[in-house]
Amino acid sequence: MTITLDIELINSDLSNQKLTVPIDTTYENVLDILGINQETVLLLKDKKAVPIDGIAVPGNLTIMCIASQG
Amino acid sequence: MLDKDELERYSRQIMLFGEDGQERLKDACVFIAGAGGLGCPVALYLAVAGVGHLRIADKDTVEKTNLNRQVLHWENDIGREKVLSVGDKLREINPHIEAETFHITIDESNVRELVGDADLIIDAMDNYPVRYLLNQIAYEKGIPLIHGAIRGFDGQAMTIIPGKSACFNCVFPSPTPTEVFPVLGVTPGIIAMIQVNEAIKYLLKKGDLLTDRLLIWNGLSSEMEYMKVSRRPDCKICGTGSKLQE
Repeated sequence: MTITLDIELINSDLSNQKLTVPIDTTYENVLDILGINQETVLLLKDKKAVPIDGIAVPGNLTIMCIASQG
Repeated sequence: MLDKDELERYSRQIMLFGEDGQERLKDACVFIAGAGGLGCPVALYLAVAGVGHLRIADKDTVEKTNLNRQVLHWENDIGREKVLSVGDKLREINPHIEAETFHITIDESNVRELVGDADLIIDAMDNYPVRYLLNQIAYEKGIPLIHGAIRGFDGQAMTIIPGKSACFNCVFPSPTPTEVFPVLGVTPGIIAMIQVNEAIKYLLKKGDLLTDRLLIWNGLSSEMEYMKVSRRPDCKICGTGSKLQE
């Protein structure tokens, strides 16, 4: 069984994309697949933060690159 | 009490919030952590608004690569301590305010004293370890913290009311890697203005603060988005199991 994620990237050089992953995949695994360092992003679903160790659910996922400088 | 010169200087904003509001700004003390890309415009706009007491800490000296964005440091300041450069400009632009400066690395040993009894802390830092420290002290002392950060064309900002809204650690539980970063001067300008707007609103008790929301600025699309955030029960600073709760 697989699920499909519509991934939107905010403040990133990467493009938005669709990703199909096995059910029970964690968001951490999703970032690994995309080659994104989990320490550099926040994950949002419906504009609310989701935990990195949560199980991915189908639909939209927003990945926001964190600004860290001043 | 505002003197005649101050009444004239601030007349356009006194129209917004009255002499009482202006006196509230004059009596306020704001600690600004950092005198760089964010710290310069934050300090400048707090000063011209008439926030009476500014405490600014930064360990660096001015370098040529700072000059594209750190707007209070000029060509002649290269090599000077940033806080001295900022202090001089602030006193010149508004002689009615006090600017206290500290050429120092903010760390665990000095942060409580540096923050002192400030009414507000503004995060104008360039690294997460000090941001975590500011968040911890803000929580311990019950002083609101206004976070800002930038990278390239992008940035983010959030206001933290300790014990009431999501804190910095709630939203950013792990530090980001350090890097030599690209940045355009207007980006810290935009984020700093949001921080100053938050500071003035808080001091005047006006409007709705940017609490439990992370403002995300995308300069390339000129869009602002908001992410809802909330306190995390497992937050090591403000969560229910935090040592700071004891």
